[in-house]
Amino acid sequence: MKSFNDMDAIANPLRRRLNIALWLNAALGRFIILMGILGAALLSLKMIRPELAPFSFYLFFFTPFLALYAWLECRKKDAFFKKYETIEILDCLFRDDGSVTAFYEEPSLNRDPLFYSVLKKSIHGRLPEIDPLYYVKRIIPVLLFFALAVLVPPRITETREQHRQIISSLTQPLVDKIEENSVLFSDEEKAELMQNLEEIQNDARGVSREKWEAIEEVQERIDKAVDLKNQNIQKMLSDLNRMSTLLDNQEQKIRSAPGSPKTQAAMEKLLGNLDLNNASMRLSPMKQAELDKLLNQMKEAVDKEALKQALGDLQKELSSCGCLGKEPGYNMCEGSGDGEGECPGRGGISRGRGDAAMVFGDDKTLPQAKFKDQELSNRFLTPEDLVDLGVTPLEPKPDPGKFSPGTLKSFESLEGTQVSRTRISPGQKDVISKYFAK
Amino acid sequence: MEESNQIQEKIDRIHPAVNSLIRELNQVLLDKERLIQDLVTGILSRGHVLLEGLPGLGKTELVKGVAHLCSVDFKRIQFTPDLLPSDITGSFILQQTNEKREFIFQKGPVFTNILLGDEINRASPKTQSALLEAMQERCVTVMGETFSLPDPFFVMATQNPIEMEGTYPLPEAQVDRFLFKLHLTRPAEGVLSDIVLNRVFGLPPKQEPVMNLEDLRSAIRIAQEIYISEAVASFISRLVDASHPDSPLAPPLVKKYVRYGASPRAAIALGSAARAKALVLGRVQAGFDSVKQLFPLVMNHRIILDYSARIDGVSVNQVMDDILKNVDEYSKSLPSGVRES
Repeated sequence: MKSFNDMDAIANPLRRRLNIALWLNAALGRFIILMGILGAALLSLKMIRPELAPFSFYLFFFTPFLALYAWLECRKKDAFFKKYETIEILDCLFRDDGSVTAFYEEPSLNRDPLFYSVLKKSIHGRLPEIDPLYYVKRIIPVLLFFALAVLVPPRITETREQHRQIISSLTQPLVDKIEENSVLFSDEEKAELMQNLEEIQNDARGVSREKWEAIEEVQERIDKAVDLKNQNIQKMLSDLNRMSTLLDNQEQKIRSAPGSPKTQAAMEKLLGNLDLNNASMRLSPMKQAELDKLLNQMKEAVDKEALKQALGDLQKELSSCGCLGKEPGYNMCEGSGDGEGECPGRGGISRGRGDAAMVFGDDKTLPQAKFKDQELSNRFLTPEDLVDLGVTPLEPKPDPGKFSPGTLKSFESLEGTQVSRTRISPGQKDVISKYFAK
Repeated sequence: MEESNQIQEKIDRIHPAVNSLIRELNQVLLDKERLIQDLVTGILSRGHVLLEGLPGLGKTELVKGVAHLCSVDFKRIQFTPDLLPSDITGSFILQQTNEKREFIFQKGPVFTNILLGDEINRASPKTQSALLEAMQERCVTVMGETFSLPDPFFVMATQNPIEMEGTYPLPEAQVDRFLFKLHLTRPAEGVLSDIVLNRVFGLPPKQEPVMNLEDLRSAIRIAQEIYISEAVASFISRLVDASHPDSPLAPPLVKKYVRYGASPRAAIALGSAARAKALVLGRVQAGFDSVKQLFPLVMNHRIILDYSARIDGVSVNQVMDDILKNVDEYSKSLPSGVRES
């Protein structure tokens, strides 16, 4: 294969252009990958370790090496255009008649001295060109991604002090509650609770799920103690009410001329209960002393009026035995309104304990109700109301086909050998799979 | 340099005769310049040509015209189902001379320069195969004795695409021996009126030969000396390779519909045809344009499609177009990011 200067002069600029395009392509791919990695690293660091995020910009120093690497790789893979391959392109651009390649290979075939000048003139302005848009289109998305990674603000990390403040804001109300209701806890219990709260507060791991759970546990223990106290007070009030009822039926003096033996026995039992409840109410010492005094007065009352007076005082005193600064028992939630969860059985998701007494409102007819309420004239059904709508020849049987798709259609195969083919909804499937996964 | 100049001179000397042949043939078959140029290209590349077209389009007249204008021997065989191989090749017959009887070889119609096999697909496969040796080896063997055929020797067979009943389609091995398969189409309306006006009894105009046998031989020889560059040869090989469904160069249609691609004989044929085409065009080198132009003629009977092509209505022409569209003329494609002006 021979070459000569005329052909070189025409082919070399094209060859250079094509090789630059090849190198740019190789570098472009790597640049896109680098920018992608850089953006991803920047985003990750901003989320995980914001203080290290600026260091990711050091990856930019790889850019020149990347260009060099692309060039070396093209060389290694022998990807660059050779002169002969460029001449093939020139041939196709010229007349597509094989003359350029033939004359390049066998110059003696060319008898036209003007051939190269014609060739040069013919391909002038028709040589393939590097398209900058091609590269811009590919770089823009990755640059946008990188810009986005730069613009995303780093995650604000809480300092240790901020952690302490958050935890304090959670634990301090509990400490206050314990202090306020210290009589509800024994010294050991109180010390344990305080120690738990202190450990939670001093834990350096920040706000975590475990901490929340620990705080919840302490909260539950306090609530449980308060509930116990309230229950005892309620029992005592209940006994006093019953006692008051008994007294209303008693005509004579209690001690000197006792009533019927049955009433007497009931009174004795109620007094015994009052003693028991009194012992387990866990009131403050001062309050407890007052209550003991009133209880003794009631026991020592000689006539009905004195006893009723003592009972009234005792009820009043008991009602004033507040727990957590509120009225004890259920009587504090009288009236209407949902409240904010402080009243048992009322309110939304924070409505309080489930075992609280239910409060019924007025009867309402639902707007979507199929049947309307009808008041019976005699308050019971008369034969006229019981009219036969029709008589069926056989006993009515449920039609399995009319069941909704989610229900079991047939109960016939009870041996367990057959499989129910009933279709179930995705929601039900989820519940069933969760159940069997346990 | 001297050798190159000699080729150029030879081309310059024979090219006018070739041009005259094409010009005169255009008088035989009106409005078929392209087909005639392809036929002459086939003759100059020493290839056999299969002409396909409906009856009455002038296939036989065209071949007869070639023989007449080149002043070469011409014979015609009308292929029929009862035609025997010996009817083509000839046979030994017992002949009485003055003193003795001896077997003398009676040459068949195959001993000619241009053999017109009319409706070749009507003969039995046994008879068709009698042409095989003649077409490829350019000799005939009868009863163990081999006889060379005249030089040049061409088979120009015609085939009728309709009336397929009672025909024997040519086997692939035999079809592959034809350089080109040319399709004759009906003339345009304007041309038809010219034919009506000027062709009384359908006879072609009287023409004088434009070259003799020696000129034809010389033209064929010169065509084989035409220079073909490595780039063009590489393009031919890529095109032929792309016709195989298992080739990495194969375009989607080839991968989906082609059962068998073209053989290396097709690549040789395409190279020879490109050289001959250069002679027709008066060039010293074969070009990419000639290869692209001749590719369908060389390939259309060599690419075997599978049944799915028939179901989907995909033709060989569509497959060949797909190959030409997808195979780059450059051995190395332009890099992405470079746009052609």
